[in-house]
Amino acid sequence: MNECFLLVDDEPALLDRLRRILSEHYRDTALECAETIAQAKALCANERFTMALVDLGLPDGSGADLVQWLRERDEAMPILVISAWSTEEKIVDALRAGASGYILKERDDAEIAMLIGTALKGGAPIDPFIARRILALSGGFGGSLRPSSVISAEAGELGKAFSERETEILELVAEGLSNIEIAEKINLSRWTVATHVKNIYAKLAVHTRTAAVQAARGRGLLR
Amino acid sequence: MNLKILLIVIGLLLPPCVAFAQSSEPSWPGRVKAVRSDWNAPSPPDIGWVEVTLPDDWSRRWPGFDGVVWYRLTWDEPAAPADRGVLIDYFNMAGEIEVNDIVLARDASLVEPLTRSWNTPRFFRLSSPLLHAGHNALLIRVSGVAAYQPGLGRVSLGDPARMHALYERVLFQHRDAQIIAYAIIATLGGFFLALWLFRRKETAYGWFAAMQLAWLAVSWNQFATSIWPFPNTDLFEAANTAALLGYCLFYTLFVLRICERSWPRREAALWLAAAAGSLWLLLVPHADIGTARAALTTLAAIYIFVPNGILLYSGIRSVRPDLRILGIVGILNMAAGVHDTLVFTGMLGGNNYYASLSAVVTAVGGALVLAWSFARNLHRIEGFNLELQQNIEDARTELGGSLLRQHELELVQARLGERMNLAHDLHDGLGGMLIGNIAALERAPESVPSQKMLDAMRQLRDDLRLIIDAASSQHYGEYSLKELLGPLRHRMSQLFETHDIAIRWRVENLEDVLLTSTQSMDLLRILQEALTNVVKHSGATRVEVDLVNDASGLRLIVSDNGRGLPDQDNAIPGTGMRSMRARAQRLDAELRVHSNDGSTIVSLFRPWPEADQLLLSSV
Repeated sequence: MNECFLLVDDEPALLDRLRRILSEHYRDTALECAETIAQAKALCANERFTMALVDLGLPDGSGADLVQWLRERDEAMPILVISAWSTEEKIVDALRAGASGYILKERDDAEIAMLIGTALKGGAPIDPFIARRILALSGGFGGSLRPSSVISAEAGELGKAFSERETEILELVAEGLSNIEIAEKINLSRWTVATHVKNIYAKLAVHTRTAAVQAARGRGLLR
Repeated sequence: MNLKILLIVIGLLLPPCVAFAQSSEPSWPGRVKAVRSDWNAPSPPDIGWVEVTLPDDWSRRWPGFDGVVWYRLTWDEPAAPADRGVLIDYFNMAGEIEVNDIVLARDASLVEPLTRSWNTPRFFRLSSPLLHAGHNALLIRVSGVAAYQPGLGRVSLGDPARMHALYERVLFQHRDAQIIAYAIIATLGGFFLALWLFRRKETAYGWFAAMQLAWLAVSWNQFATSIWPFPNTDLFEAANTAALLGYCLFYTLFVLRICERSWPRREAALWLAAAAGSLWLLLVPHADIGTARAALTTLAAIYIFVPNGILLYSGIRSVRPDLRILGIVGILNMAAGVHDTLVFTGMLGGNNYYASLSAVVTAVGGALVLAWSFARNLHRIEGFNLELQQNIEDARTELGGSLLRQHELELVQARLGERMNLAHDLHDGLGGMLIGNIAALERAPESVPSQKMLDAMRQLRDDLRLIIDAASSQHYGEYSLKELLGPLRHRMSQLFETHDIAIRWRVENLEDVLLTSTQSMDLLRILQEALTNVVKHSGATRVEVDLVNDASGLRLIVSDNGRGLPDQDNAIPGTGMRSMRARAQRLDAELRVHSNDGSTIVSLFRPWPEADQLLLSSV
C-alpha cells in the first residue's frame, strides 16, 4: 500500500499511544514521527504523506502554522490536529489554517482509530462545540441568550459562504446529533453529510486565506 | 441711611413745592363783600354785606349755614378800559358769575342736587364793552353746604393773556393732572385686578387693586361735576369719605401682604373701624356731617402714617430692594399727608392737595414692586428650571455611572459565580470520585486490577469533560438544557458507534428548560452514568434515550436491550448507582431502575415546582 503517515507530537506518551493505535488498525502503513515543526518540514522534503496528525502545541511554534504550511503544499491530504481537552478556538484556528479534522486526546483508543478512519475516507469529524463556533463566526447560530459580542465582524461574509444546507447541518451538529442521525433527519446519506462538513471546513480555510490575501493586498504586501 | 438722607431732601423740597402750589398772584385788587341769602333768592339782599378776604370759607364766619352767599368784587377802571382777564380759582359748590349785571356763566344746578364746581377754575375775558369807566363789579353767587368748606377761592384780575396762562396752569393742576393720575391709577388697578383674578394666591395684587379702586372713588371727587349716582351732596360726600377709609384699609392690607405679614386681629379691627366710620357718616344728622367728615378725614390722614410707617420700617430693616422702594414711597406719602392735613385744616392756604399725587406715586411704586416680585418669581422659576435640568443631567450621569458600575459588579459576580459553580462541580463530581477511588485503593492497596483503575480514571475523565463542556457552553451564553445536552449527546453517540451499539435519541421541548448549573450537571451526570453503564455492563445492541419535557415535569428514560442488572451487585455494587441516587435526590427527582432479563430501564422524573412552571410559561 505504500502509505505513510506523518505524526507530529512532542509528547512521548502520546506518540506511543498513537503509534500503537495506528499499528493496530493500519498495519500496512508506515509512520514517520516528528517532535518539532522543523523536523516535520524536513521529513516532508523527502516523503509524500498519506495523512498528517499534528499536535497543536509544539515546542517551536503553533501546530496551526504547520497545518497551513502542509495545506499549501498539498490541497488534498487529510490533516488532523490533535488537541487536549476543550480548546475549540485553537481547533477552529487550525481548521481555518486548513486542517481537515481534529482528534481529542482524551478519547478512547477505539474512538480515535475510528476518527482517523473517517478522515482517511474523506470524512470530517465535527462536534457540537466546533459547529457552534463556526456558526458563531458565520453569524448563523442565533440562540436568544447568545451575547452579540461572540458574533464577529467577519460574520456576514462567512455566513454568505455557507449554503443553507451547510448551516442546517451545523445547527444539527450543534444539537449533538451524529452524522447518521443528521443523515436520517434530512434524508441524505451519511457520506453526503460528511462531505458537507468537509466543504464547510474547506470554505472556512479558503475564506480565511482569501481574507488574509485581501488583508495583505490592503497593506500593499501583494499585488 | 439712604432713606434718612432722602427724607431730609424731601423735607427741604417740600416748602418750595407748597409755595409753588399757592399761586403767587396778588389777591383781588379791589374790595370783596359777601352776603347770605336763601337757596332761591334771585338777587343778593341789600343788607347784611360783610367785607371778606379771598379765599373765603364762609362756614367759619357763618357756622352751619347752608345756602347761597353772594360775593361782590369791585374795582375801578380808567376812563377807557382795556380788555381784562379774570381768573376764579374755584367756588364751592355751584355758582353763577355776573359782571356788571351781565351773566358770564351759570352752573347747571344751583340748588340740591348741587353742581360740583369746587375744583373748577374759571377764566373769563372781560372785553372792554362790558366794562365801565370807573366802578365795576363782579358778582359771584355761590350755593354751598357748610359741611364742605363752602366759599370762594382766589380771584385774580389782570391782562387777559397772562390770566389765561395762569388759568391754564391752575386748570392743569386741578383738573388735567387729576385726570392723568386717575388714568394711571385706573390702568394699574385694572391690570393688577386682572392679575389677581387669575392668581388669587397673590393677595398683595388683590389688595393693591382694591386700594387703587378705592382711590379712584376718592379722586372722583376731584373732577365730578355732578353728584351722580347719589341723590344728594351729603351722600356723595359720605361715599367719598367712606372710599377714603377703604383706601386706608386696603393700603394697610397691601403693605402687610407685600411685607409678608398678616395680623388677623388688627386687620379685623381695621375692617370694623372702617365699617363703623362709614356707618357713622350715613347715620349722622346733617348738622354734624361736617364734623364727622372732618373727623374721619383727619383720622384717615393721621392713620395713613401707619402703613407708610410700616413701609418705611420694612424698607430700612429689609434688604429686599422692593421694600426699599416702598420705603421711599412711604416717606413721600407721609410728606404729602402732612401737607394735605395742613391744607385741610386750613393751616396752609389754598386747595392744593398732594394726596392724589402721592396716590399716583404709591400706585406706580406699588406696581413697580409687584412687577419686580413677579419678574423675580419668573426668574426664580427659570433658574429653577435650569437647576432642575442640571440636576436631571447630573442624576442621569450618576445613574449611568452607577449602572455601569453595577453592570461591572454584576459581571464580576457572574464570573465569580461561574467560578464557584465550577468549583462546586469539581468538588461534587471529580472530588467525590477521587475520594471514593482513594478510599477503595487504600482498602485494597495491593490488588487493584488495572482495568478497575482504568475505569476509575475514565470516569474521572468523563466527569471532567462534562464540567468543561458545561463551562464552555455557559461561556458562549448557552444555558438551556438543549444546548448543554449537545456535547454529551455527540460524545455518547460516538462512543456507542465505536461499540457498535445503536442509539436512538428522543429529545423534546428542552429549549426552554433553564436549570441551575448544578442541576444541569446532576442531570447530565445521571445520563452519562446510565449510558456508560450500558456500554460497560449491559452488552446491549440497542439503547434508547428519552429526554422529554412537558408541563408536568422533566422525564429521562434510558432503556437498553442488554442482559439486565445482576440480582446481586457482585462486581461494583454501585458507586455509580449510589452517586446517581444522590444526584436524583438533589434534583428533587425520582429515580427508578427497572431491570429484567433482556432489558434495563433507568427512569428519572423531575416534576416542575409551581414557580418553575410559571417561569417556564413566561419564557
